[in-house]
Amino acid sequence: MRITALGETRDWPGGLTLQGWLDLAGVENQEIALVQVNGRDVPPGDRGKTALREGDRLTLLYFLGDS
Amino acid sequence: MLVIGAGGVGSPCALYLAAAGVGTIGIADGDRVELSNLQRQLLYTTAELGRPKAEAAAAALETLNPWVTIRPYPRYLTGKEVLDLAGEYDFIIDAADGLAAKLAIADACAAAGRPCCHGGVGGFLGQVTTCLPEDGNCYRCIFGTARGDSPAGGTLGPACGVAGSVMAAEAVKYLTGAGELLARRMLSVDLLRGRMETVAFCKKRKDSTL
Repeated sequence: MRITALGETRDWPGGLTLQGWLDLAGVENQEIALVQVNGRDVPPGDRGKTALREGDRLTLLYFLGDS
Repeated sequence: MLVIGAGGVGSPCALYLAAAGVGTIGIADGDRVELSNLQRQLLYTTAELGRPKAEAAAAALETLNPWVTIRPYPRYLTGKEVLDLAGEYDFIIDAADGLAAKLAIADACAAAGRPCCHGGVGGFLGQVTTCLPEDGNCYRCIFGTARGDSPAGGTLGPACGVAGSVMAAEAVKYLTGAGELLARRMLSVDLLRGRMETVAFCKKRKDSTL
């Protein structure tokens, strides 16, 4: 299925949860402060329960602390 | 305006605020100017190496606009100091380094009922959001459990320029009532890929569409 994340639209295996996608993408849970699927916040505890669908758009927010 | 942090992000922000003629600008930083700062901290030159940043910043800002009052605080402000000082300023700019400092500023502003624009950079990336008192402590809500790491490898000067400029714009918009603040939104900038994105968050407000 095609998922848009980090500015790119790519093919990903079907049947992925959000946590599954994060694992495949190599994103550690602690690195990201906020994850949204199609503009809706997904709490950390729900990442393993959130199924991704064709055309979903993921938004990841990281902490940036330099100045 | 109280600008906490006179580094890469605080420099362009303070410069634009002084240039705009904001009446009183407090500028706080406990660091001294170092050579490695100069690739992105535009308030300083090699002539200020070793000088307390808050004092060097004040001198630069007063030279830019002598009709603006600059109050330097040449120290790292504690959360209590931010809380005490916040009452003297209309708007707080968080241009500080590190998660602990930024959360302390967020907590103090929330307690003081003062709006605060938070900005951070790392590598080619920047992010800015404005927390309003009526929305609560949005910054802690988002980043309170973050690990606090930033991308390794230093920070690009222009990333600081973009973030600092946006923060100055937020301050001017707040003072003038113009436009829309980045309230319950995070502006994320990726200069490496040439992208900007606004991420909406926070369901606490009744009018939130999230």
